[in-house]
Amino acid sequence: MEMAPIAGADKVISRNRDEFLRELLSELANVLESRVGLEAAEGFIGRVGSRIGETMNEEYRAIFETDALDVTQVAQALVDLKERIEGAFKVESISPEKIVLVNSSCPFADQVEGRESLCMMTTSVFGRIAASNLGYARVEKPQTIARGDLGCRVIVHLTEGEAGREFFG
Amino acid sequence: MSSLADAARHRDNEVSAFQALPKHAMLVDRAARVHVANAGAEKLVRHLFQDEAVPERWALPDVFEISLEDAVREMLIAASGDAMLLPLRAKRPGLPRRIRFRVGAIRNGTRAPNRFVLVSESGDALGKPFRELNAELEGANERARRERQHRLCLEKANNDLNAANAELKSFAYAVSHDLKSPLQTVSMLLSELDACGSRALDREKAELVGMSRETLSRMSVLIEDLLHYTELIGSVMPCEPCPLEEVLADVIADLRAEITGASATVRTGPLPVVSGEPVMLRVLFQNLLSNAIKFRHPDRPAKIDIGAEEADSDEMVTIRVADNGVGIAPEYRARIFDLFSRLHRHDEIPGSGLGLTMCRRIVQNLNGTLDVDENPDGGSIFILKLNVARDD
Repeated sequence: MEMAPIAGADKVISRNRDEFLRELLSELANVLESRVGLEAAEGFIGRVGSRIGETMNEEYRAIFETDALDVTQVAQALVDLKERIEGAFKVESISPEKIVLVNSSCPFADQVEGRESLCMMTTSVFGRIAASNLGYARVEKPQTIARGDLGCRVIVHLTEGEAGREFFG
Repeated sequence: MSSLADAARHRDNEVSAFQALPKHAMLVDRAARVHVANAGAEKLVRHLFQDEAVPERWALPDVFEISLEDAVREMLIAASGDAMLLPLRAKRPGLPRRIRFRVGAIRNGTRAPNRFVLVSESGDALGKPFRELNAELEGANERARRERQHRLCLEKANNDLNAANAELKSFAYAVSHDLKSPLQTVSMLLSELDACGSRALDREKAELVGMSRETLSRMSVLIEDLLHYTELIGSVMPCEPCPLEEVLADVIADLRAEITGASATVRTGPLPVVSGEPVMLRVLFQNLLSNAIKFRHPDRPAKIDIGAEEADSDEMVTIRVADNGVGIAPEYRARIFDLFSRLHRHDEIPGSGLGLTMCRRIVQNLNGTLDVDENPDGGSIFILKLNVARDD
């Protein structure tokens, strides 16, 4: 049976599919963080990010027609994948030791505020792609929108050290 | 020589510690082959293989339900700080279905790890919170189910009550209405008898006819009141602002003959504008004043005082109708509002026993209350609580 649209609903509800999915992810992260703690929640989301990172890595390898991306190609891939999901990152610096990326908006938009576990998605995707191609990566996030900073600053270290989360290729 | 011996002793200690770990611990290479298994892991494998011979060299897929490729992939991912969950290849009594391992990467001067150390974690770290979450959800569902049932029960009870009220109203109306007709006929016949044959009746029979007419008259009043009362059952009154001072002025005017006849004094103080139905409010106060006159004390002139208090925070105003009449003994106060409740004989004070019942019903229909208390100066005080009319 066809139902008529609810008069006046558009004035109250502005949520579209994209916003709904962001809200859904934010609430899932909220439930996880409150139930299992930030560390375990990050573990969950990190696992999802690793899977997505693996898939994307294969795509970029195919695009660059190579079995392993070099440092510049890795940086290009990280910027490109974020560009596609409206999380525009820019490369601040690039060297054999590290790739530094910054942004001023998040793909999860305002739903990310206070949901630090969602940042693990970026950490894992970046870390997995970098480690799979360069053998090792260590992702550090000194600034994040989720923690209340104006933008995110993500350092993908390519050498061993203390800070950040390690990824192995 | 000494340093070599120390190194050997140090290595022996590390191996002993690894072996003694009260967990399943394994050293696994990038091909998922297990190079060293501690006592706990060895015991697990022996238990799993049971009658089968345990291979001299075994890999993770020999023990766990996972492919070689996935095992390596999972170890690489878990080495970032996650745990990996490995289901056992077969079910065995006394063995868990799945084992969670923490994974550490071992690198001998290489960027990529060449070996991994897997150590089992006790318990399911996420099991408890998720069980709690499920229990909360089940609790919430159960509460919602009970509330739904309760609401359905209330709805049914309300529907039943409405149906019973409607039936009662219809029945009472039909009975009282149908009684009127034969009553009028009997009354007419008695009038005929009185007019045509009273001279032929002896005194005793004439008295009987007179008593019959009085009884019929009382019955007529009773039926009229009953009809009025049935109209009040379950009815919703359209409310409007009613100035009580005007209502009381009309009632006093209507009762002027009775008031004068009883040498009664009626005093009214400032009265509010209440939310009500003018005709019903008139019936209400007419009954209360009429009762106060009817039940006046034989030894003193009747005095009736009507006053109001300030409205309370719920916008309810208290109105007191105080008389100095015969009063109501405490043991009777609870039932004077009941149907057909009478404290006096007909020949003492006439009435149907429905007046106060109607009063309370009217007040209830206006979402108010009506009670009675003792007047410290003698007599009774009827206390009404009514809604104050709002300015809008």
